[in-house]
Amino acid sequence: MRTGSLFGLAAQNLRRSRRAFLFSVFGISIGIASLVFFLALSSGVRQVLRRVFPASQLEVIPARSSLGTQTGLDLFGLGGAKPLDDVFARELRSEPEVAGVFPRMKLAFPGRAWGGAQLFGRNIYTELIAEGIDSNAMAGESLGPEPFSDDLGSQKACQTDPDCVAPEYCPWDTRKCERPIPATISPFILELYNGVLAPSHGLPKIGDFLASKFRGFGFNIELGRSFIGGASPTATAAPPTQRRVMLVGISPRASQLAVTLPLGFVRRFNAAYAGEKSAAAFSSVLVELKANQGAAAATRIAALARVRGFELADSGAERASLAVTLITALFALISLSIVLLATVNIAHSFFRQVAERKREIGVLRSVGASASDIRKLIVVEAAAIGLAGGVVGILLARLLGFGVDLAARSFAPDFPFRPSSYFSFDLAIVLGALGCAVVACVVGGYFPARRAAALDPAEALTS
Amino acid sequence: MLARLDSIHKDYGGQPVLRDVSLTIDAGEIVSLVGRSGSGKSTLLHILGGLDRRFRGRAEVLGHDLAQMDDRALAEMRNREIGFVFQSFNLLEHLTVAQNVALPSHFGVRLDEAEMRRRVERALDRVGIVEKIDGRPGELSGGQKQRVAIARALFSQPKLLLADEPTGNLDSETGDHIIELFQTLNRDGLTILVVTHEERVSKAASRAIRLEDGRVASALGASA
Ligand SMILES: Nc1ncnc2c1ncn2[C@@H]1O[C@H](COP(=O)(O)OP(=O)(O)OP(=O)(O)O)[C@@H](O)[C@H]1O
Ligand SMILES: [Mg+2]
Repeated sequence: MRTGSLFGLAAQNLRRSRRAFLFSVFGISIGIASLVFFLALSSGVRQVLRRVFPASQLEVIPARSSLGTQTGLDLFGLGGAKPLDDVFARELRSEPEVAGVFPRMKLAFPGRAWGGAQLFGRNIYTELIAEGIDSNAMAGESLGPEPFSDDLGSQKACQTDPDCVAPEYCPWDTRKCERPIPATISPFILELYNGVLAPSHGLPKIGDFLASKFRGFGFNIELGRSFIGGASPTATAAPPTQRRVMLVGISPRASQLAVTLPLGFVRRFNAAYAGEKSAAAFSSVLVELKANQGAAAATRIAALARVRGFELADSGAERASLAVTLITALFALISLSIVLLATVNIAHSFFRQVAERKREIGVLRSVGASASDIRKLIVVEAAAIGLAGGVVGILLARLLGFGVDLAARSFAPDFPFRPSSYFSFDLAIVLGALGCAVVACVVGGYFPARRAAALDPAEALTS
Repeated sequence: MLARLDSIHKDYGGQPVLRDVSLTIDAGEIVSLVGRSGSGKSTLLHILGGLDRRFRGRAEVLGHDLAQMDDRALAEMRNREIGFVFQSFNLLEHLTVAQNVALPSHFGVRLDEAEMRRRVERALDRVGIVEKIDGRPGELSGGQKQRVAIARALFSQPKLLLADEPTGNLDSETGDHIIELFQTLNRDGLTILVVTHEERVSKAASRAIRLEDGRVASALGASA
């Protein structure tokens, strides 16, 4: 039987049993719509997760649960958290999957910050949470107007700010012209600000335009003094000093929740206020994997870190991703059960049609249809139902997704990393669902088709 | 000799339906197959037409040894060389007259649209009902339906026409027209086997084969 004839006859049959056709299409489309809806939602959520937790970044930290520090068994110098230093950073750099290794160091003593009048109309006061990162980490970012480097500036002797060439200024403790400390923040902080801080404090949101405007935005920090405890006792009893900071950009390599400064500054400050020891070890090491590396590389780096007595920081990415996977699996399973029900319904409908069309099948046989022609005819009819049901289901899912997005835009509050759409109708999902619909229907049609093909033509004609 | 059955046996679940049936049909004949209800006429016709493979004995039709043919080969033979006509017309109600007539084309060689139309018209013309070409079976009288069914059987220009009680659902006058049509087709060279239990139908044949209880009781007429 020729393909054209096969499709022609199948189309004629479907047109005749329009009600059964529409009913079957409806059944399968509900299952497919639900499948596509949840898979697209899951994919959309995963994309948000990838923005929150860049997959190519790992953070190595000192082992947290080391026996020594917790139980005092450090007596023999055997236990204790092993300091994270350049040795391991160098080893990581030589790994083939690794694109870059950037040590980080937390500011190990209290400080405070204020500023923002140019941007917000009034000054904002906050505790200083800062971290240093190897300045090479920002090499690829488009920053400005100052470079992200450990450079202190001209260090020319001065009495007051006008003695220095802007943007340099004259710190009162050193009396040497110094440039503002360049700082970056993570997209996460920006999202947090836009999603939580700005709405609740009536501050303007920082969009793309403002984000570029806020480059060069300066604020002041005071080291060794906290809003919480006034002048805080520091390890070295060094007097508090003030410095200027200038935001130079936003980078995914910046610390998630801290202002990120060049490592050299933090190291100097830690040495001055928290002691030499706190300036010697890194608080963490950021490992950037090469672009084409997957989870296997991350697992390998984690193993290497463990062998050396370190571990990977839990960013929450794994748990979030696992949760998404589990929920997706659950809903996909429910959707597939609906598809399965549709399959059973289609099988049922075709069994009934085969019984009803027995004589017609006999007629087709008498004019030259072979048993396999009859089987193909019914399978093609089933596949057509699958195709139609798949297309309708996908459209339904898109429509539903659109509705949900619309409702979320109008009713849900703003939050960090809020996406414009919660759905990602990937080509793979769409094609997979279409395939799933066709396969489900073909499976449903197959057994009735076999029964029809097995009918004795003479008997079918006399029925 | 166009068809020949040799010692055909057939039973349904141990119940014999055909017992040692032997007969021949020559090219150009119009043969009637008569006998009481249940005597096995339809069964014999289905075997001859390659619709029923479950029999014992030798069946040779149009040069094919039916026992040696698989389902696909039998289907091809039915499509190209044999036309079937039934008592209850068996038209597909959801198709037009033209689509019904062209039904065999789906299982044969590819024809272009114009050629298909030409063949449908020719077949309908032979049965004298070409004006109904775009009608639906539901709009036709019984006699017209049977003519469409005959046109469908003629579509592939078969060598053998097998008709099972073609006048059984028609009044006598309409039935007579169908029989006349058969005679005309036969004069044009078509070999016809017609199952009937109507005297006047079998009279129109060149010869009659009588089945009784699954056996050939007598073969009357020209070649008997
Ligand atoms: N599918 C079947 N299963 C069982 N028995 C059958 C089947 N088809 C036919 N028979 C039996 O075979 C016998 C012959 O049937 P067949 O249809 O050939 O008779 P017929 O001569 O055509 O009768 P009628 O004039 O009523 O059409 C009958 O006794 C019938 O009951
Ligand atoms: Mg019969």
